[in-house]
Amino acid sequence: MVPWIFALAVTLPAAADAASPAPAAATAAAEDIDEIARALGADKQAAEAAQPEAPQAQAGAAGAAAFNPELSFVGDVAGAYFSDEPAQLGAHDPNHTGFTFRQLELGVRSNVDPYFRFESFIVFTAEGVEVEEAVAATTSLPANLQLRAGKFFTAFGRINNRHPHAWEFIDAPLVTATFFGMHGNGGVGVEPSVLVPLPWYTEVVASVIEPDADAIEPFAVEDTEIERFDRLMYMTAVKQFWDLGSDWGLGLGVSGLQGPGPMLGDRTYVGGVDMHLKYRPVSGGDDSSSVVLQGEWLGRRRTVADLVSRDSGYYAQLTYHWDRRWSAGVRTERLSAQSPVLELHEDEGEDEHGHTHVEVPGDHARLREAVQLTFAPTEFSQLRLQQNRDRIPGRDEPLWGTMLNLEIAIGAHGAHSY
Amino acid sequence: MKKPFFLVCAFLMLAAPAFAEVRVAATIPTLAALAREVGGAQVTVEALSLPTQDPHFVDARPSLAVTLNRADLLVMAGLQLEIGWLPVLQNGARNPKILPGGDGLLDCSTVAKLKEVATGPVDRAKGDIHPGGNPHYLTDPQNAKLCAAAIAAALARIDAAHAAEYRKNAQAFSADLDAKIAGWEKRMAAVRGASVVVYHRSWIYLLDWLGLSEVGSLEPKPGIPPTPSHIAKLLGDMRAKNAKIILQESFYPDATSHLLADKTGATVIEIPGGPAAGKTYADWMDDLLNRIRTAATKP
Repeated sequence: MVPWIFALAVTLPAAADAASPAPAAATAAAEDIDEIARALGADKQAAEAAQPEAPQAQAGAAGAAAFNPELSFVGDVAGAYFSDEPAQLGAHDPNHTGFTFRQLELGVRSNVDPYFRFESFIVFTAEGVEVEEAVAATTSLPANLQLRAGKFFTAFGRINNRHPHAWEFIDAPLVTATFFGMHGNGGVGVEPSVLVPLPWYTEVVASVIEPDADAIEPFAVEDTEIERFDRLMYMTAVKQFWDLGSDWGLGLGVSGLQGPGPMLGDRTYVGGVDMHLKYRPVSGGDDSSSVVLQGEWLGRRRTVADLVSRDSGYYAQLTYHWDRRWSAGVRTERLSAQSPVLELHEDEGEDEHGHTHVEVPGDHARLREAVQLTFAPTEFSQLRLQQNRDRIPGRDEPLWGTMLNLEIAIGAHGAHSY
Repeated sequence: MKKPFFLVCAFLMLAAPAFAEVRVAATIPTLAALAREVGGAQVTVEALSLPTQDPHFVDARPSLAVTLNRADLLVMAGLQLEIGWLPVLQNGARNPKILPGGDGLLDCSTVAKLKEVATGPVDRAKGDIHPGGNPHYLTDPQNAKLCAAAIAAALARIDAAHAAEYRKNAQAFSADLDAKIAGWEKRMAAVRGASVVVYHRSWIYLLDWLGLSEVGSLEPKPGIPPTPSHIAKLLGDMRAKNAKIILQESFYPDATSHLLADKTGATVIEIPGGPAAGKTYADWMDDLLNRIRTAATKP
């Protein structure tokens, strides 16, 4: 609490003065402060005198290791077969026939002090090392507020800020990987959020980030220097959740963002809705079984040079866990156009802004279906087999992909988001 | 749109003093039952999980974060029992009181008398083990007394105006339980030494207290489902030691237990992981002990 009060006191001196209970208290303050300073000085000396005994009592291996952050490693390796030239979009997707070292993710977590918590995910791949997330979050802001700052994935939709090991399928959805780039929507910035005081869960999240030029092609900026605010990306999301009895839960989200396009002056707008419906018979049935229906729809409007392009896509998936170890799922996806391929219709004129509107015919949609079967011996290991059928515009034959992924998790026990 | 929202907020603010009592959230139903007895009329208690739910695998439903957001006190079992879900809720709750280091967080494992505390190196090759000790310590009523006293102390710290009442309630609970413990021990003396098979190793405190002996567990290692070879060996052990009871929480699968029972004549006791809504800790223990006694004395 104290630093926030201090910050308020510094930024709002007039308000702080006004808040003083009575003028008498203000005039007495000077003498009081002298007294307080003397007392604090005496306390400090006393504390220093008492110091030598305390560390000795705490000494030992446990004392030295006590403040080490929590560490965890998640490793993913996959074998895959593709019937034709692969066209996977996610950064960690198996992307060729053969074996893929998808990632080794080092998670580092710790409370910093009574005011901040820190969390970082450092990802090792065949290409090198990348800090995917490194973010500090406040823990004690008033009014249900939280502020996060650092490098992070935004809270857009449902799957974007979840790491691949929390997904129900091996590869990233087409729509998010296309609209947000291979890694997802993230960058360096700040994210204020608030838990709205309503009887049901309602969280409003906003973020302002500088998009990561390397990782996020759709928003890549030519020069990384932010000279104008329109080179930043602004995201807002509202997330709600309702308990429908003890066995059912429904989550709904609405998200929107705007950010820079590929060239200076270009703008990109993305809107999305997401839903998550889960049935788990915790009130007396088989507690280890569950059925989850999850989907997201995203639409995008871009100005690229003089053109306005619109595209959209969705994924919808159904996952069934029939016991603690076994689960299976189906997923269907549609991406309306293979961005950034734009087809110009000659007969369409320019609008009042001088933009040429582009309609992409529906048969250019990319469609992909997947089924998966998962065996997880414990919470710490998992084997997943997935079969994709991918119908890509411009190809005569569907692309068939078969993937088998092994995942291990060691170190600190991670907690699972809903 | 804005006006109704403002009115709702204003209403909630005005309505707040009407719910001035202390709000307690407990991770498991047993701790919730203890908090209800100690808190009495001054507190409202919400359990984050049901007795029919495995406390290792509770979903971190966002609605539970709302419960924690409003909680003045979070009572947890600790020893990493809730590690798979509680940290997500604590971090999402925007309530510094119930975070580690906060005034409103009580980890009952810090006051309970623990068993199976790891002394050597720990390794997950041994299964899902809890290095700090076996977290199912509330099956020993002595630990229930210790936890009730700790809850009373935490409530007294948070709500000093009713401190005396909380202490009085805890003392009354303790005295009442002491009388019941004497009765239970007397009643269970007849079955002392009986052999029991468990599904998960969550009954060690109860078995030690009553002098029952654990023949083995259906899980070959904690958290690992039964395997044919392990069950075959367990069947032999059950026959050799005349085990008459298979004890398990109702949320574990029971097909294998019933198979073993059919082959050995043992009784499967499936009991919820804690008191059902409206029941006390003593009700739950009484039911459990009656069923054990009946099964153990069955000819």
